[in-house]
Amino acid sequence: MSSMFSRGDYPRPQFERSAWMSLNGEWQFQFDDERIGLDEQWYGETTFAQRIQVPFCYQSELSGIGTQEFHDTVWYKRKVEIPREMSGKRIILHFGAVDYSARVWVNGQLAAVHEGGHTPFSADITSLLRREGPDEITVQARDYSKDVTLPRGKQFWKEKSELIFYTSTTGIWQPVWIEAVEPVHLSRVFYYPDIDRNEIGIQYVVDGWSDEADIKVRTRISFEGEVVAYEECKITAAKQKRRIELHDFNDHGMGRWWSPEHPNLYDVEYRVYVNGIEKDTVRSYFGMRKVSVDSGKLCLNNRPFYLKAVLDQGYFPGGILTAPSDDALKKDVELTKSMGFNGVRKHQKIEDPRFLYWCDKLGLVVWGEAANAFAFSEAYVQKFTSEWIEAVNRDFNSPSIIVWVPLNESWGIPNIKVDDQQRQHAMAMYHLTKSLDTTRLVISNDGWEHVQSDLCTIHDYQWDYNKLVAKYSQIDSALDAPQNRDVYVKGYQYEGQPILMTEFGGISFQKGETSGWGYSGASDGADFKKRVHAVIKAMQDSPLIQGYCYTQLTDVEQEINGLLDFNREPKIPLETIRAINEGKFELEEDL
Amino acid sequence: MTTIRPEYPRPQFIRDSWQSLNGVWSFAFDDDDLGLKEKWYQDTGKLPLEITIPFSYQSELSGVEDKRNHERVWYQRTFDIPAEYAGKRVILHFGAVDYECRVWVNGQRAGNHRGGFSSFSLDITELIESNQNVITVMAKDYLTDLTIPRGKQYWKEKGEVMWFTNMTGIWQSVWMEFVEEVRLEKVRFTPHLDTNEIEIQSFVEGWNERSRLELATRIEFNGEKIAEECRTIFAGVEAWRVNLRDFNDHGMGRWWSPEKPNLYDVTFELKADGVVVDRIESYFGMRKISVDNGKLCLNNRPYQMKLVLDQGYFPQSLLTGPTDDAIRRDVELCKAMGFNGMRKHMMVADPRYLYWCDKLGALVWGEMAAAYVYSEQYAHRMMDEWKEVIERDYNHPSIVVWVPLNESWGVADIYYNEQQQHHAQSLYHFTKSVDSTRLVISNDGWEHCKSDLCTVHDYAKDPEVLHKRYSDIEHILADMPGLEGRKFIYNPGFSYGGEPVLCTEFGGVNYHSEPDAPVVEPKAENENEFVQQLVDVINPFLVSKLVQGYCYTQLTDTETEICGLLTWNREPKVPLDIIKRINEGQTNFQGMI
Repeated sequence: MSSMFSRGDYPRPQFERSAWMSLNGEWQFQFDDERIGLDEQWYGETTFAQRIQVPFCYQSELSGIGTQEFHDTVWYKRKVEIPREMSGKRIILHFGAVDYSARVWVNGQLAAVHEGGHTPFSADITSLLRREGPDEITVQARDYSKDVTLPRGKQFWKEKSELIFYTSTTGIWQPVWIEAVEPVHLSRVFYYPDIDRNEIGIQYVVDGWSDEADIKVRTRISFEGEVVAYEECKITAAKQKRRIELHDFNDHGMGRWWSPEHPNLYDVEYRVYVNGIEKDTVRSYFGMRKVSVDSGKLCLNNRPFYLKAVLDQGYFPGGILTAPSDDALKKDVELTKSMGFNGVRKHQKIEDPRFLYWCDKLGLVVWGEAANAFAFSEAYVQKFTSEWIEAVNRDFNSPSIIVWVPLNESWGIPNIKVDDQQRQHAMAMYHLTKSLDTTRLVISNDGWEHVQSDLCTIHDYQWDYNKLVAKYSQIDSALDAPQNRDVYVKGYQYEGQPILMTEFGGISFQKGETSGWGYSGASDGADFKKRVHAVIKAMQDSPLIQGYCYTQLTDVEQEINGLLDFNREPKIPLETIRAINEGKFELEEDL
Repeated sequence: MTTIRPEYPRPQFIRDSWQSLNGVWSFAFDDDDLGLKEKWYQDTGKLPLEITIPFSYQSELSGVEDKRNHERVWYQRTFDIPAEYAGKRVILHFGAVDYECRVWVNGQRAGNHRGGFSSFSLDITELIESNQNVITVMAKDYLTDLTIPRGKQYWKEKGEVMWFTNMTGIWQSVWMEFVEEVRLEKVRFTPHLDTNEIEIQSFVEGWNERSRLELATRIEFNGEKIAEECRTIFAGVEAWRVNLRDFNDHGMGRWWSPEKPNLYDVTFELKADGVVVDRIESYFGMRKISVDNGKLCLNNRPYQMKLVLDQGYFPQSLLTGPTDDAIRRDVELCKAMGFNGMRKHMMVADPRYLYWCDKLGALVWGEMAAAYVYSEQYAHRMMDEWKEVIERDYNHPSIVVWVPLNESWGVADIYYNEQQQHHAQSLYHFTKSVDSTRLVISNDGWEHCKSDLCTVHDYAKDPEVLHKRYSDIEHILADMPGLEGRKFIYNPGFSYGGEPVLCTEFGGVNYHSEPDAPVVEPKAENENEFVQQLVDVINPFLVSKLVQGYCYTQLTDTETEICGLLTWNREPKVPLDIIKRINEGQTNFQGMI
């Protein structure tokens, strides 16, 4: 059975193969509150009574279940007919995300184990498949609803959401799919754009490489249909890197660099040949862009860049963390752009790759932020580090992502001000991220209590224009404990980094009857407009601040401080927000 | 095929389809400037003498050996195009013609060139007649013009002090090669050691959009295939980098150094619509020269340079190596004496010399031949010639430092003349702008503007003076060792900024081991005294905590100079091993000589 929300779009748009099949749709489902499934070998012949619409979590309406009770162990099962054209190839089973840990069996045999609720995993299941007849996939997912040392983001540890915390998500919440590949195939590529030299670095990762076969990869790079590079190189190791100069002239608004205003993407096609026979074809893309700090200025493509971002938590009515459709993801990007924002801080969530695809394609910079835990322990450090490595790895190629935020507002490290161990963790996350990715900026702890960060980011929900302007007109007052939190913890200090206000606003305004929560409140549309204008104008009028991130894009459940409501309906005209972002209003006298 | 310098003249970029034009040519002096008027290029038989190319008429091996100044000379010879190359484009190459020349083929002007030390080539295809072609060259030198880059060539007929016999006209190999319309004109190799990548820039001549051009590249190391690739060519100039995956530690790996002169072999094949139209054999070395925390580093590790000054003069052939073996032998002798490099002084080395340095492992400081008087015209000409030199030799891993100016030659007033400072600065920055991989010295020895190294020349002989002077930078800057207190190390407006300090000329110990060598005072009287004096001047730099390298003056005696470690005929004055031990720090040689 398929529904209108089958999410049948290609789940890995950065690296696309034609031989694939979605396993979204109806699966058998079972709560296992007693945790007897393993003992009873539910991964065997057992059938489950309930039904669920994958990839939606059981808490969501779109899953067909829709209960907010905690059920920390859940099981999924379905039959799969491997299409005839895939036979004889290696079959790879992919999971976009399963919260928090997963075990996967194919025909009763264990195929994969994964931990980490926001990152993808896959398994080569070829040897587990039956020669004839349908195959059966069983998944056991375990979540730990009340364990606040797990990376969880905004998922509340109580059943009913409150304040800034929302309904939980358990189990599968991103697409499940299979693809067919030859034993020798390109397992992925990494892109290293270098605009200073107009070179694209490409690292080829070839699965099944051996030096016995003659393995070659043909790379064709084109821009809007024009081929700009076409080459074939012998693969002499499983990981091989090269750089290609792109002929381009970038000035006077010309050229092919990527920016929110000109989301130029190069298309790439890879073909893998083994002993002269074509074995794999992959379509991909990259963008040439650079983010850097130069003489204290935040720069995009070597020019000062003023960030106008909005906080986007990626919650959807009906789907919770899972967008109901690809269009819904695309529409969020379009709405953000039409309100005059050039960026988004994707808050406490590793978003679906389709979202990043639309940001790449339509032009929106992204701050990629981890979903944090809320309490610190050594076990937390291990789990969080593993998941973050996978997250950075998954999204390494998206030109839209320019900043990584492993930690936010001291979540998971609540005692960082006084606890050296937690400071060490924040420093470790900063350096780990830099060691995995030298092309992006990294924030050790967004909002306050920074250790080392490439940008000085501050959260301040002050709503009064005059107070904001006064505070952010001079460096000393700007750094003087906004929100009563120190900007830097002991041993670290401001050293000329660009200052950005990465959370502010949060003005609540509800058109209907129900009451909700916000950082400050508006009484009607005109008041809302005035208040939004006041705080954004204050940022624009500050001589120090080089960018902002307004809280927030949409209402989320009981939190009603969105510019749009939870259903993405504008509270005031989009053009009004756009005009505010563009600084087109003169300040009204009463602000 | 000729037996005179028959080896391939451009070993960094080899094509099969070539032919040497070295050997006997007709020759004439034209002191009365009749050649042009009488159109000597239109016929054969007007040049009464014969000369053996590529040796200049002043040298013995030329067969002319006339030491008098003749500023205008003519060369002529006939040649055939071998049948196998019929229909190909014909490129005529000149290794070097001092100072300027005009070239005719079959009576028609083929081109001209100015600059006595840089190479040039001419496409003469349209001038070729089916058989029996005639090539005529008129070379003009300005033997007393001190504003043209000349190096050690004296402006008087007889060499004196540190200046030597002049050279005029052709003095490096002349050759032809046969190529297709579409060809690989050159490549530039830029090693990126830190990422273990080789950057390749291809220059495809005759590139067009009509045919599908592909360039196949194969990189090998000691026969092991490292990379193999084929790329479509979309533009005349393209660049890409290949990762070489290499483990470099514990003495392993494939980086290039004087101790381990590892070279990667490269084969390029250019294909047009699938057909191979050009094939090149080349090589590169992975090495990096840098200054890191005030330390001069080779391949990211501190490296002490032990150089010897090499002026490249040969008794019978002056600046032209008499044979490829002789060139190779000079490199081998330097290494045998414990040096790890040479400052190639006041001349631009023959590419064969650089080839042997690449191959055998020796660092080279590439230095321009200086003029002696400044003028705006000099500045133009210097710049033109220098840029040809650095472009020609860009790919040689052995070259690690560029020295456009030495001891204020050509910029004699640089200390107080801002124009001359601008000239030195422009050469420094120009060199950096076309070669970001090497270090550059604005003015070697003294009166530096901006330089990547602080190089001083110091001929003090007293070890106590040297020990004291090179104990800290303040002493060096205050002593002004160059000409004993008369030359500042830095010009006004420039100052020492923590650059590595090297003494790049010193020693110059005179000792003649042959009875007929000229007597220059002061000199060592016997081998023992010679060795002691060498120890006295070399050892202070080895023990100095400050000095990171040196360049001993000099490799061989040259004409009137007898300060060589070897005689002019390359005979050791003391056993090579003694010099090696001195370079290694041994100070006591009692009973060994």
